[in-house]
Amino acid sequence: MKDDELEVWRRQWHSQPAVPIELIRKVERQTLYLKLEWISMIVPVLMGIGMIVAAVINPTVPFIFLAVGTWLFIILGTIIQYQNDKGIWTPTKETTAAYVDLSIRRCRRKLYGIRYGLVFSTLFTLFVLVVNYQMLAGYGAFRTFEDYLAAAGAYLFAAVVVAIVMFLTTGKRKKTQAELDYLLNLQRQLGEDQNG
Amino acid sequence: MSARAALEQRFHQLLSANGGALSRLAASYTNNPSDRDDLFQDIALAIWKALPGFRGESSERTFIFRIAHNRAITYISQRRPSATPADEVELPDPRPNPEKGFAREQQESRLFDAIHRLPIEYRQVITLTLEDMSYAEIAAVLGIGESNVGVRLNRARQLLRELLEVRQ
Repeated sequence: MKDDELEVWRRQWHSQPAVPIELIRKVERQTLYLKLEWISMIVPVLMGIGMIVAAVINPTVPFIFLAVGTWLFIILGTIIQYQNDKGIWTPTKETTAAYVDLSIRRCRRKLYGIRYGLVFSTLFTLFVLVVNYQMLAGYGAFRTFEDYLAAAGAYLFAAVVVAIVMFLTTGKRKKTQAELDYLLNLQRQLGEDQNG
Repeated sequence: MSARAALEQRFHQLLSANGGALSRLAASYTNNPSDRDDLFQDIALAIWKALPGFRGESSERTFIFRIAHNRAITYISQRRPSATPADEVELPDPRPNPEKGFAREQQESRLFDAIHRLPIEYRQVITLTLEDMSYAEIAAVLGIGESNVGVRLNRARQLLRELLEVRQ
């Protein structure tokens, strides 16, 4: 392999500027942040704990129902998340083709996760709104037309928030779909080259 | 020394020894200096994550380059690869006496442009070859046979020659 043409290219190739030292330091700092990844689990657990505290302070049927329902959603969500994440941590083999395959699986699971997340968040919002309505009705909060109007406004606001989340998710879904298309094309190219 | 400290020391040593090669590899996947730095960081972080699982089944160099190429593929798939017109290629060169080395710089720039224009499967083989890797090492990094490395390298060299001639 030691021919002149390659040697010239090698010299030119190695003349590229070296990696700046600040960049290496930046990477070293980032490795510290990796240790804090588990923090994302705190939010749903805190929410669930909050619901339990509320149910203990007000041991009425709606509060208990809300606490139990919230925990069911958290547990169900965790199980689905766990199932969806299975088999996408490591490639089946230590090869580029296996890594491309892994990336494809990750993209597909991500798309599934986006769809499931939308359905899940819509159902959870509906659940909270329905229980909330029952609570307010139980307290006799709906006496006049204005009370109903105020509640309708609040519910409309919740619907708008869910709609905005859906809209924002569409962009993420499109980006992931484009990534998946690219990877599938790349997998085809690599496969063709290896077979041909 | 704790296991964690030993791992960190090993990571720093790997990064110091292979930083240049990884940076060149990143540059072969993106023509923008800030993207190259981003990709370099991605690669380094992927190495950091994978390092505890490295059991010495292959050489450290093979291990690092395998991660680097795989990370680079994921990176460009997320960045929606562009046609990368070679005229837009921007590679900073901090060396002194730019006038004196102008012709040489032009040749180097042409080579980087041409490599960047190669299809991925050929780009991978040629960049690893230029990093002084053997057929066996390249085969181990890319997960293909040695004969396939030879086929791809021949094709890559042929394409590279054509691209360099066109740009002259």
